[in-house]
Amino acid sequence: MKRTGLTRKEFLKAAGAGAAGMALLGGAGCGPADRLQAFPDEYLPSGGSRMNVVLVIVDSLRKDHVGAYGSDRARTPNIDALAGESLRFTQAYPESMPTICARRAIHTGLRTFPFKDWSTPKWDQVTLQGWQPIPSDQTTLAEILREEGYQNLLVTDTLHMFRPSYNFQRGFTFDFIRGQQTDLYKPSWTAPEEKVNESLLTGNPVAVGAQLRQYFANTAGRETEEDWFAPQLFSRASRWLEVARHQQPFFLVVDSYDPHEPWDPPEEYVNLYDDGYDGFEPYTPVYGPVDYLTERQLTRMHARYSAEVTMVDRWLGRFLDGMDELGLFENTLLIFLSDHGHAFGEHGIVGKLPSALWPEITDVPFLIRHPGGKGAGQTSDFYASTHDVAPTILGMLGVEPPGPMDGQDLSALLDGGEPEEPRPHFTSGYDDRVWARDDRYVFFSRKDGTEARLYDVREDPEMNNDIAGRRQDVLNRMFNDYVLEDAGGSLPEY
Amino acid sequence: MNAVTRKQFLKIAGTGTAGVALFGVSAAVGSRYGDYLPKGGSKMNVVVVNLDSLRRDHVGVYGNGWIQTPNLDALARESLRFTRPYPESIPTINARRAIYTGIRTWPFRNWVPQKGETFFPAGWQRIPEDQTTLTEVLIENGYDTALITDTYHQFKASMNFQRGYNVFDYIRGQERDRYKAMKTTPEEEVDRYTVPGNNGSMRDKVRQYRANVAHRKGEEDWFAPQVFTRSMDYLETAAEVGGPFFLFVDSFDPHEPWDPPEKYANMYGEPTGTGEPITPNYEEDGYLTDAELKRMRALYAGEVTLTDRWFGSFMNKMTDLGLMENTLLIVFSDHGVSLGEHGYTGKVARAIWPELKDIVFYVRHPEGKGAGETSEFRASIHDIAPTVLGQMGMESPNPMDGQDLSKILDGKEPEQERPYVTLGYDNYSWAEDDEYALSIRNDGEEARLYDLREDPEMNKNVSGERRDVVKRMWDEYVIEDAGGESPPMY
Repeated sequence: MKRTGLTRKEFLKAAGAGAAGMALLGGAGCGPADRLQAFPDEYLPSGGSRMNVVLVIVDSLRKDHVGAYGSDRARTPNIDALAGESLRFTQAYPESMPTICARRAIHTGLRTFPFKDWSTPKWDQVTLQGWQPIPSDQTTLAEILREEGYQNLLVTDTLHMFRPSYNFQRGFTFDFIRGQQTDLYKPSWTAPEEKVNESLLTGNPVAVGAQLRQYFANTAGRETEEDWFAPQLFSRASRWLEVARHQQPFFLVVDSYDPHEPWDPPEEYVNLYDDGYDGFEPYTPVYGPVDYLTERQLTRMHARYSAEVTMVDRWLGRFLDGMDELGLFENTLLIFLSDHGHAFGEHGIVGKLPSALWPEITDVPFLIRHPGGKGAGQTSDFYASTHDVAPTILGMLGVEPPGPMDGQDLSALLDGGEPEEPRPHFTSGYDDRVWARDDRYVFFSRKDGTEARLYDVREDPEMNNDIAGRRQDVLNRMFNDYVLEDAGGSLPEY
Repeated sequence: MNAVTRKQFLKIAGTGTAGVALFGVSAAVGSRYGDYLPKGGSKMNVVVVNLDSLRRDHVGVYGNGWIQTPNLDALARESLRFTRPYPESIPTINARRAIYTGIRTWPFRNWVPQKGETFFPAGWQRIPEDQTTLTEVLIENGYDTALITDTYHQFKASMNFQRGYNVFDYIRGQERDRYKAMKTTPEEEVDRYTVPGNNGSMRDKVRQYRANVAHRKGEEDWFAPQVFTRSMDYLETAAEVGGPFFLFVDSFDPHEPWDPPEKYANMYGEPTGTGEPITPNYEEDGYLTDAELKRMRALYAGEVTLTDRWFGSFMNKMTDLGLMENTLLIVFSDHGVSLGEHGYTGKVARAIWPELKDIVFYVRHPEGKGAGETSEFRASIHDIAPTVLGQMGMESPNPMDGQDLSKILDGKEPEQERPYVTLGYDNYSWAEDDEYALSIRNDGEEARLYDLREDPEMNKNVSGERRDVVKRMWDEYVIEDAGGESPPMY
């Protein structure tokens, strides 16, 4: 196999260029160059017949907070360096949202939207359409790869997967890092009360206080940065690489809940984006209108998010370093993506509400790094999505899934071709809302078509000018031909 | 009512000579409570402790003469102790369904095996969605609820035993828990912890287990120590808040693998010099030499003592925090394990005998009700939920099959006599009354019948001579309790 992407040296240079020099932003590129080996002629793992696969899911990472996507809102030198070696999708969207809905699609290759046969297991914390365990009649990517002799490893702190009846560990050896957000891990009454108080504004809903109380109870034992969640996660993933490489091929899923709120990275990270602040610390948003925050408080909250993104990037960088030092970049397919974004008042809303499907919530980064360098440094505007992950991995490994998948094998794009099926439009859903786009318009509404919004994204890419009232014809087309069509003719009602 | 007064109770608690050092020394600490109600609440705390795979005949107070279980013995002086308890179904997950719901898991109808599971005895599944758990009732009634456990089957895909808990703490790594990459265990290490007769499945079990525990250093890193230590941590914070709380300490030890720290491992015998038999094949015991079987028994006994020792620390913590005076405590096991008594090791469904189905069961009331007494009532694990709710005056939204044992605690007759028992494990059922015990496959085949008066050890199968008894027990016990038709065969 002929390698077409960046050379190793160029990669390290790109990573090192993560500028501003800061030790904090180190990570990729720190490995001593002399430990690196030349690329072998081919990328097959030693003793195996297939590539390893590493899938990195980073929750709540906005596309416009990644440098490689042209943004300077957050420093992400490691993701940027990875993007330089990857095929980068510029118009990637989750086929459904949020967290659990997106993960169902990632793990099965099947669409979660339009949320048919939804049922909430007893004692769940969240009731959103489609939010439930993987149905038992669906087969997961891990189950398929296990049959193929892969060693499957899942490390995650995404607490929703630890709830009663959840089953995302099907097929995996798994490591659950406990304590994120509302994980019922430590008794909530052990939370330091001062910390809770400094984070609550008068009038904050009780649920916000409860969330923070649980979170601060869970995290009360922290001492050094290694004890934060993303550091724990990527460190454990690195240790797993060290053992997994002895039994290749392996399939490793690193599923990071950070930069999901609460946003409380170590102060150095926050100081990168904001300093001189004193007062209420907006660790977590009240989902809804932004006007409960002052401008200054909103800036602070946004800075905390950006800081958490940089923390994730730094520890992801260390993990990538580890892969590099072990020579795993040469025989491992790496996919990196997020499940959704998060709003910071861009359209008057904070949080991620189903009714607010603007780019800050729907646009995600999506990178595929092929060990043979295929597609490296290239971009694609194909509407790549969460449900394409499984068929793409299987396609590259030459493994037939036991049943059809809804997603597409994106391999052809890495070779400069086109996937089997063109995708001239794309649809998504979040609870009782539907969303659609094509190369001209973005549309979203309730499932019954009310509260529709329409934007001409060629002229108005930030979606500030709602033209729904003027273009009923376009609305009808997008609802009927895209949403209803992709939903199989009808949308279930709950 | 023959309740012991507070003063008498404390005396009883204090009198255990061995017990003094172990627990029960802190009467003075506890006296800050005027009565047994937690501050600010109106209900007792509830602590339930399950010791998985603890055989009744391996506990001193139940008649064992060679294994040290001083803490479980001391507990008997303060508790009502049931002498003939049993699990309504076996094994682990089946038993926990009954514990949480008060509803019988047996006869395993409507069983839905779960995708991603690797172990498939009939009835092995999460708690059905239409059943309400004890935890859910208690949290609805204002309890703080905590589950601290290393029983890894509960961490598997689709399981839901954490329903209703506002704290659940999973200690990872027991047995086959898919926690660490198993292929990292070197073959020599697998050899060191297996015997030549162990099958491939058991070698895999050891391979996974040794990968999981590779980080161990001191005794406190073993599983029972971790479970009880984290439970003690919980008690400390819970005692401060003032309750009421419900804590379920679900210890997988003394379940295999049996590899307690050396001082316990060699307490009841020496190593054979070859591989250690830390895990049994679930089959006939011919794969073991006599020396290996003897060693296996010693290792299990060592693990029992390890578990008892840390259970004792937990009891001491309860006492020190004054919680013995406002907490209802139930301690039991879910099943036993065969160690060659009838030619089998492990838990084999067709090999139900006392070593597999006899369990321990204590109820310790904070006012000393029933303390130091015993009851021959055939209590079962599905009586736990109704008993706890009965003591609290609460009701479950769904009817329970188990019985509230409160009356027995008060020295009265039980609500309903239980002249016989039925229990099940996969495709086999067990029935027992004062005269006979019957093991039978659920299609009516493979009957084994024992005359308990002439043959209490159950060595002589009389099913051939006493077909009438087999038929009666099958019809009147098994079919009757299974709802009128024979239990399903899977």
